[in-house]
Amino acid sequence: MKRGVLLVGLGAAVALAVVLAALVGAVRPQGAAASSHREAPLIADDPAADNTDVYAFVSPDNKDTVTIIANYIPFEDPAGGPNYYRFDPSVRYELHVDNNGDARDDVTYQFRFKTSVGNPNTFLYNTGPVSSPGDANLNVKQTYSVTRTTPSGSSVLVSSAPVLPANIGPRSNPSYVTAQGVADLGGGRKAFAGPRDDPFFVDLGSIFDLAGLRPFNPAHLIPLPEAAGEDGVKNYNTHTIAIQVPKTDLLAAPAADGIIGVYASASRQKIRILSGNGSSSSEGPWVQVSRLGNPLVNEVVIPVGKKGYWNASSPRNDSQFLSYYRSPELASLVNLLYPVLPDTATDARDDLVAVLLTGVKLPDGTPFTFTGDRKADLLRLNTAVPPTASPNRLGVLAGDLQGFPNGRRLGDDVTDIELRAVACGYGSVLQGLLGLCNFTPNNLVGDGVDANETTFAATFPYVAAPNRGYEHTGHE
Amino acid sequence: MRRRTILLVGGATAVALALGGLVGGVLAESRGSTPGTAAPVALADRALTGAAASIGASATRTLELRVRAEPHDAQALTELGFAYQLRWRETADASYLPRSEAALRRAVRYGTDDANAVLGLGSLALIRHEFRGALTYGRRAQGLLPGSSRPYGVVGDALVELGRYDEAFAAFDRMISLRPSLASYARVAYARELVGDRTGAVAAMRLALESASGQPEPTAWAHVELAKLELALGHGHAARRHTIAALRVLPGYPSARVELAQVEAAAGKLPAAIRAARLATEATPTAQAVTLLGDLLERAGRRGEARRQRETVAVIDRLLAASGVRVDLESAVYRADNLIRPSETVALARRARADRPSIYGDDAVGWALARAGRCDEALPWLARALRLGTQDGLLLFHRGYAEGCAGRRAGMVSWYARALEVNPAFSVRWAPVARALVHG
Repeated sequence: MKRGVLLVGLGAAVALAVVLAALVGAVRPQGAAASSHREAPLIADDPAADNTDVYAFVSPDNKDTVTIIANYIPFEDPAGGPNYYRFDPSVRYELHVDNNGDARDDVTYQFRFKTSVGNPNTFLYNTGPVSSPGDANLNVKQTYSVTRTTPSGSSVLVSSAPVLPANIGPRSNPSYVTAQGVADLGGGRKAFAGPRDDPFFVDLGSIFDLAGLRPFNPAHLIPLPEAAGEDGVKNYNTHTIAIQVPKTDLLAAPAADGIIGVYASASRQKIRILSGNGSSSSEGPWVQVSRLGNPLVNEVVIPVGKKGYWNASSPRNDSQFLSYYRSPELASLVNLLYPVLPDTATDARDDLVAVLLTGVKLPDGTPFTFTGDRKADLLRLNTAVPPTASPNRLGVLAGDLQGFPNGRRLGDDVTDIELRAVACGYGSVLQGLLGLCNFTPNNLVGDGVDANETTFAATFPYVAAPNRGYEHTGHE
Repeated sequence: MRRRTILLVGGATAVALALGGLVGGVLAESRGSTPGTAAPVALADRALTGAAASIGASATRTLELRVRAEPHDAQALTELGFAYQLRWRETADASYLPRSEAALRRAVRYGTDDANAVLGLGSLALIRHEFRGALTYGRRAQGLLPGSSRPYGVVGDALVELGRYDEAFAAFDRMISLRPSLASYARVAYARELVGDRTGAVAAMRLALESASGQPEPTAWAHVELAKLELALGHGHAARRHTIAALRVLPGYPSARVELAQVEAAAGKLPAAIRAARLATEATPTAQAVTLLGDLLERAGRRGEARRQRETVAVIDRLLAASGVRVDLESAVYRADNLIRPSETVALARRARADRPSIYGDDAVGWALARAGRCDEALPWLARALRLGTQDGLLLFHRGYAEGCAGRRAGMVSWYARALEVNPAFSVRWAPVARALVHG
């Protein structure tokens, strides 16, 4: 009997591990196909178009502006030369903002990249010390443009802005100046694109291992000695695009404040074998291949077989995925793997639907992050909540109303927040305010990784400078 | 004398390794270290000749441990099944294929029709050239993964080899609509190549290369495909650049080593081509590599050495067959090239075409008939092989050969001229023959 339970538990845990494996890319299955002279890969990762995290917050050092950050390319080894990671010029990177609750784009910022290679006959990334993105010693350079689109039209905010180079080592990068990668768009608007330290922090090693949480090891179905959490994203880099713009650029006029819904995406161009006139064409419509609003939804809410479809679909059609939010597999998994914790509800989870799909209303009906009944997986930000001087990693759960799920700041511990939400451990603040479930010790669970290994910057783009290859080798 | 020894060692190693793989697999794991010992190489050549980099080896070992700990874990079994296929790509050791099958079959059993395991079996069937089986698995995976682009890859690849091109291209168009990616760009590239749009194929394969984002194996793979396309277009320098790029990204990548030999041969550098082909065979003795080396040695007038390569090809084919890979079509073309028992070869080609009724199946039957002197019978098959408008020099050459065999010299010469025009280096073995007759 025990064995049976264990097997079911393992099966569910494995499903979680699968999606996390996709996140980590630990194993990259490669099929081979077709005739002996043509073995095309069947499954290939697409890291350059893989949107890993989105952040949106009222800028702590400029409260009249909002900062939106989206990261792409997971688990970059800082020592990943000689080619190093870069944005893909054939990908369309976008930040989408809905400001009226219909989950349609009201404001979109599109980032497009260009790569230029100074000397195509060398494989060297740089031929000497690099002191700026325009340095002649930098052989592989990237630039980008940002185009802002609203229902009334498009405008190019910046073109040929420099992308910061890879941070290779003390010889190649005697200095690494983030400010060189910040584009001034005028009127206090800024943009950034370049490699950064991945700001996400999570104990992947343990969560992989049957949803283990090291600090709660003794409470697991397969107990282990208690241990401190270990950040599985530590010292990995990612590629960041970011904007900082006046709130009013994102809100429906004439509002000075309001609630916006944000997601980021990556799209690739579809091409056809034959065009209508019998000749091939490389022009085709754009197909969204990855999207992200709320953190970890793609990993722990959407089942494996639906992930591709979810990534290609638009948030405004998310009611089709409602059952996965209302009856999350993770809830059953927590009950199975942590038999000593009070059982969390495994269905009718309207609390999760509210947090992730519609936003939350206060008891008096005032919208906190609520944007209407339209269900859409968007990161919702109430711009009226001012930045706090002392942010709490647990955000709203700890009474810090500027934190997740009111937008998302770099330091918000979304893993712990979502774990507690799923496990019905919302904490006393939300229990008192909204009457949400608050079991103990479910309101204390967490992976034991409470902060990023690197301190975030105080100014835009806030994300820390990329880890240097020289000091951080041997990741793969 | 030294070269000769190396050659013999190379051939023997090939067989020993393949047999070792069949028996147990311990030998196969150590294969990565063998090529470096075969011949001393200059430091500058390290990237081109060094031991094959292995992406799959450590992942495979990790998964084997996972499966040992939890033998009913369908996901781990599926990943292991795919990992063995990756190892096959990296090493050309066919003994990984039965292991892949065993893992995937268990995954299907314990995972109650796990969609990815079914897809893995489809992919395996493609590797083994069991295209009808692949189609069945691909369709089953489509049912299990509605809206996913991946099953369309298996379905489309199988349909191509079954000669059902309209359906195949529709599958590829659907695949890329669902998800533009390396996998779908590459298939569009191949489809364009089949219909004779080679510059369009290059454009699609460039998108495939970009979407590989520098990941070693996919990047190297796309570079090699671009090298093949550029070389066929007569762009030797571009082909060389892509080949070297592939070897820089993934040192020792087997198909890049073979392609380097092709690039050298196309540039008329026979000794360099032989050296590159020899390194390729010593590292990974694929039938393709050994055949090329044999052809190059033959062209250099080194008949005895060439014959030994042909004997090795026969052994490799037997080993592939023992691992469940159907090589009838490749064997038939090879035997027809080398006039090995022509009437048996015709029967073999017909069997191959029954399994694989593609333009290349038609070509194999036509070529076998032509080489057996049955020229009039050959012609309809060879005409059929050109029905898509494929700009493949070898297909055009075969067509011309049958014309000549039927006594129509003018027809022969004009097809040979077309073959050379389409690809001046279409075959190490036959391009010089065509050239001699066109210009002679």
